[in-house]
Amino acid sequence: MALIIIKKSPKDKISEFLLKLALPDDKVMLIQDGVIFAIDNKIKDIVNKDVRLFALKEDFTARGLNENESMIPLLDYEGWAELIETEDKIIS
Amino acid sequence: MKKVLFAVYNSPVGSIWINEALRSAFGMYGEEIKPSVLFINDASLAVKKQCKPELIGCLPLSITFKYLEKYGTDVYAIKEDIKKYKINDEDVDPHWNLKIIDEINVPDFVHDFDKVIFF
Repeated sequence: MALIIIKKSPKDKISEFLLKLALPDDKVMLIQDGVIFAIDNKIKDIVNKDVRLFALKEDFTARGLNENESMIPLLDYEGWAELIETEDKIIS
Repeated sequence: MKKVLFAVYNSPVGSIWINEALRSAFGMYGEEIKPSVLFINDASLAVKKQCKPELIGCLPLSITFKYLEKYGTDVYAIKEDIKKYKINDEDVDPHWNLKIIDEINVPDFVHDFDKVIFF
């Protein structure tokens, strides 16, 4: 299992490349412009259904997006820190 | 020994990320960490003999060659990228001692490392 951190916009080719690295039981954390994926259902077509997706709430709302627009769970900084602590393998 | 992969996707010309990734990789030997390097997308152009960032005033890639040889650092590229950028076998600079992986195997390849850092 790995935690994959995506910080670039969906427009950036490397973001989709990183999403496609996710294997079942991996977790993906969207931060910075990566949170824009959270308003696009396309992300669920790109990643395996057994991959858990999260976005950083502070980065999401800072871009003028409403929490109820997110299609994936939002984590605050504390939740993100806990996620990092629980994962040995990090891809970012 | 822990294994770290430095994955670079930016072009070798106009940015210093390939040199930075390699510099970071070489630094790992002092920490008893085994580094490897993966070229993705535009970064794949770096493996061409004809790729010369110094022609427009950027750092030459060739300054890394003596360390690649000294440490035997593994450098990888993706077969589909190599094809996309029209890089033939004879174009690849032998200093890279390049290893090619299939795109379909990249997720498993990447998960084999303890840490993966994208540049």
